[in-house]
Order: sequence, then C-alpha cells, then structure tokens
Amino acid sequence: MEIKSNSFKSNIFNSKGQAAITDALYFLIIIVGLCSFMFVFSVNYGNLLDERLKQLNEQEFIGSALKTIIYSSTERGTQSDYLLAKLKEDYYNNDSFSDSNVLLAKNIRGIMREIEASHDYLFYISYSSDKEILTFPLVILHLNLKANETSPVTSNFYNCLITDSASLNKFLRDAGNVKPSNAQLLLKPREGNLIQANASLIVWPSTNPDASTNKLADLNCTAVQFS
Amino acid sequence: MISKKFILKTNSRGFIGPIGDDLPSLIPIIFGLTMFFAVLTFSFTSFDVKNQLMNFHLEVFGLSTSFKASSYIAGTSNFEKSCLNFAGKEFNSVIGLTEIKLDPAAAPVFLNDLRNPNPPYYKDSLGAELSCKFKTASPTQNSDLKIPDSFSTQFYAIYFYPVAFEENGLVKPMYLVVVAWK
Repeated sequence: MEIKSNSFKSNIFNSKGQAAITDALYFLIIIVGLCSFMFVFSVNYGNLLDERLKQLNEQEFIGSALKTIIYSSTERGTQSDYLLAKLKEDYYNNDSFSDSNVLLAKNIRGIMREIEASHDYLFYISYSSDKEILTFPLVILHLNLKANETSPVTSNFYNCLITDSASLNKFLRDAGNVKPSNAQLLLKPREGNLIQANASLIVWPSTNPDASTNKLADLNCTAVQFS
Repeated sequence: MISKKFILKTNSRGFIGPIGDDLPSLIPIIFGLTMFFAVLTFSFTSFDVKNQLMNFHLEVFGLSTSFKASSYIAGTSNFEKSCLNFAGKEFNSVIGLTEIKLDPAAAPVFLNDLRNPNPPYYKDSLGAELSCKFKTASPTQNSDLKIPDSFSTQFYAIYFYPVAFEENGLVKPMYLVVVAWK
C-alpha cells in the first residue's frame, strides 16, 4: 500500500516538466493573440480621423468653390461687374439664363479645373414655385466620359433641362457619394415678385466614365459650346 | 518485492534538475515575452508618430480654413494680415494665391502633381507677389524659404481652396495654396 502511494507521488512530481511546457504554449497563444490585436489596432489607429479630415477638406473645397463662383467678377464692355449681377439681369430680361450660361460654365470650369479629372459635378439654380414644385432654370453638368472602351476619358459640359426633381434625384442616387453645397440668392423675373432661389454645387468622384450607360437619358442635356 | 529506491530511480529518468526540467517551457515563454515587448514598443512608437501627424494636419487644416474664412479676400493688406496666423508655428509654411485661368483650354495649375506644389504666385497691381513664407518658429517672414522638390518626411500638408480675391474693385477667382512641412 505504501509502495503504491509513493509511486503515485513520484509520477506526479516527475510530470511537472510536461505541464510546464503546456502552460508555456497556452501563454504563447495568448501572447500571439494579444500582439495581433495590438498590431492591427496600431496600424489602423488614426485612419478614421484621416478619412474624416479628407471629407471635411472636400466639403470646404466645394463650399469655397460655390462662393467663389458667386463672388467672381466678369467683364461688361469696358467695365466689370459681379457675375451674379449679370445672371440676375439675364433672368430679369429673358426669364432664363440663356445669355449668361456659357459665361457661367466657363467660370465654373476654371474654378473646378484642379479636380475635374477625378470628379464630376453639377451646378444648378432652383426655386420652388407656388405649387411647391421645384423649377430648374439653370443646370450645368460636368461628366468625365469616354466614347468607347479604347478611347480616352474626356471632360464634357452640358446644359440640361430638368423638368422634375425625381429625374435629378435618380441621377444623383446613381452617381453615388455626392457632396452638396448650397447658397441662397434672390431672382427677380420681369413680371412677378422676388423669388428665393437656391444655387447648388454637387460634386462626386467620377467612377464610371462609360458613356454607353446613357446617364443623361432623363436630363435632356445638350453640350455647352465654349466658343 | 520491488524496493522503494528502485521505483524512485525508474521514475526519475530524464530528470536533470528543477531548472533543467523546465528548460523546454522557457523557450516559448521567452519568445512570447520578446514578441510582446517588440509589438508593444512598435505600437507606442506608431501611436506617438500618428498622434503628432494628426495634430500637425489638424493644425494646418484649421489655420487654412480660418485663413480663407468666407472665401473672400479683400485686397493685399487683408491677405498679409491673415498670413500672420502662420507666424511662429512649429513648421515651415508657404501660403500663396495663384490665379485661376478661365480660358477653357488652360491646363490645371498643379498638373495633378500635388506632391510638388510650386505654382506661380499671383502678383498684385504693384508687382508684389501674393505669398508669405515662414520658417519653423519664426515670427517674421523668411523670403528665402523654398518648398522642397520632394518631401523626405511624412510631416507635410498641402491644402488648396478656391477663393475670391478683390483687387481695385475687380473680384478674381484664385486658389489659396497652403503648403506646410516639418
């Protein structure tokens, strides 16, 4: 009986090394897990803030671009005047922006030139009529498109005739990650009261330059002729 | 009858002392601890660098947006006054206005190469270049400061925004370009 007991104790004591290595392996597994977590965390640390800063910067750029478009001057004979004043005068005379839209498109193109290779954008003036239906007297659209698979991507400008906001909403929904900026302005038609209008600039990354998808189907667009 | 001494001797086969017996288990422990401290050091260094980088970017971004404010710069004197926000900061900075050409055929100012922004800065009606340059911690302008051809550090920031610049009653579209580096 005594011999059996001694043998048992002796076995237990002599298995100590085996238990220790198992413990060490468990320890190693925990350390590897902890290290992986720490490594992944430290590599990704700050990425969210970077992304947020990028978005803020883009938003600042778009807001600045819209203000610059509105504040800019233009030549009027031998003198200069605000571009916005010319737009308002054009609207008063013609109930449209037919005389000033090319000038405005030139201005927008110059201001947005630095990002036009990578971004598409839409500038429009809209107001709400008596029946609460949005009217779009001016729509200028820039799209990077390529005619076919092998041709290079080119920058294209359009004047569009949008008759209902649903088609615009659908177009913007398809465009993806859009960033808008808005400014209010007053328009005076020849007949009637002052109109509280909205100038908007919407920018998004041009991801699909394939012209064959016919993105412009519902917008009634015609190419702007910069002469 | 098996003696007690014989049983003990049999069970002690391979026993090389209290430390010698634990020697194989020390290898993964030491490996694990080395790995842990290496990753810990890497993480702390990475956190530190990223924190500094984020603070740098946030500071330059904040200064740039407060410089452009409402995107309307009323004359050279206002430009120079706003420049002083960058004086005495812990980084080099070059801030300038570059003209936007409205000609549809004109090329982009930066030619899509923002890593080396050296645009021609606008000169006002008196011939003064609309740019200001500050070396690290310098309270006054350092006109000899140049933007390096390439940045050897990750501590650099470039921001540009369209702004309207008023000069002699004419409002011109320009780019406000802010380049800062350590």
